[in-house]
Amino acid sequence: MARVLIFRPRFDTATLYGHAWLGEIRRIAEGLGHDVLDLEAENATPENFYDALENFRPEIVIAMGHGSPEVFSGQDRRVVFRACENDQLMSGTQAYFLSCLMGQELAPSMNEKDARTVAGYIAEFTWVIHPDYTDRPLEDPYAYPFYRAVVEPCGRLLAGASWREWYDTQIAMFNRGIREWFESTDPHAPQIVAALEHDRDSLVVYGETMIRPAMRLPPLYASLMPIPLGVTVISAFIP
Amino acid sequence: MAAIPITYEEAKRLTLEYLRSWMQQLPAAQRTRPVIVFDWRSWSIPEMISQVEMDTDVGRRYVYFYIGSLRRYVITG
Repeated sequence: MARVLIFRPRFDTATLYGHAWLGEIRRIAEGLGHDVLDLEAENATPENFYDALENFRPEIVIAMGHGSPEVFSGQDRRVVFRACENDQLMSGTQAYFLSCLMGQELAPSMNEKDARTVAGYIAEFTWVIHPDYTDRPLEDPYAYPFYRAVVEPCGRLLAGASWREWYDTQIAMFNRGIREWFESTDPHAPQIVAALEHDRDSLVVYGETMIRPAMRLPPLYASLMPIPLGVTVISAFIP
Repeated sequence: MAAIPITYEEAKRLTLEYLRSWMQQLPAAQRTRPVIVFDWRSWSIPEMISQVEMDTDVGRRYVYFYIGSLRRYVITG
């Protein structure tokens, strides 16, 4: 069994959803018998994250929060990690960050400083919400395909799957959502499909091998893509 | 099929057309409620239209997001 750190701020609509999704991952982890430390809501502070890394020594970190290419933040957008400033603290861990953009700089920087595996997104992680469900995100039908793409692969990882399998599962879940919504006449369907494709195509895993989709992102992101050094690149072609 | 080069202004116009069309499909009472989470913040469609019109950082990134989703165009300037 592994030590699993869950980090999930909650202070606005976006984090309400991420908080609920990672709550499901916590439930799965505990069900599998892992030793789980859940830093949630007002406890999702930088200080508590650092303390957990030093004293709880998690093997797997699953964290959610606002991000930018070089920054990951927690409750009330307080900065937790900044590339080349304190990202060496993640050394030895395997981590998935449900966060925007940090796959560009912060995630590879963590990996270069001996984080074993770091997964995230090179672009904004975006989704669609139904305003009637913001107080019960797990029931939101528009957000459901995004929830499934986040939670399902983490469940498999916690059950012993590899990061390659984690990646493949997340891609498969995005594709499943795209298929389900592609023919829908719901006025939100085109935005849901676009967001699922966008999130799918920005997924990246840095580790002993780097895994990412074949480049189909617009030039804004293409120009910002990190160049992997000293790693094998596996591009998963998505038709 | 090769991507069609378009200017940012044209991309912005296409994006605004899409957002306005999307909004028109919704019942009036729902148009100002948040429906998009982008840049880890929730936005109503009128709010995102405003971001795009004002050329904010979020608005510009949304233009790239939308045009990228069409898989037909490349923004050249």
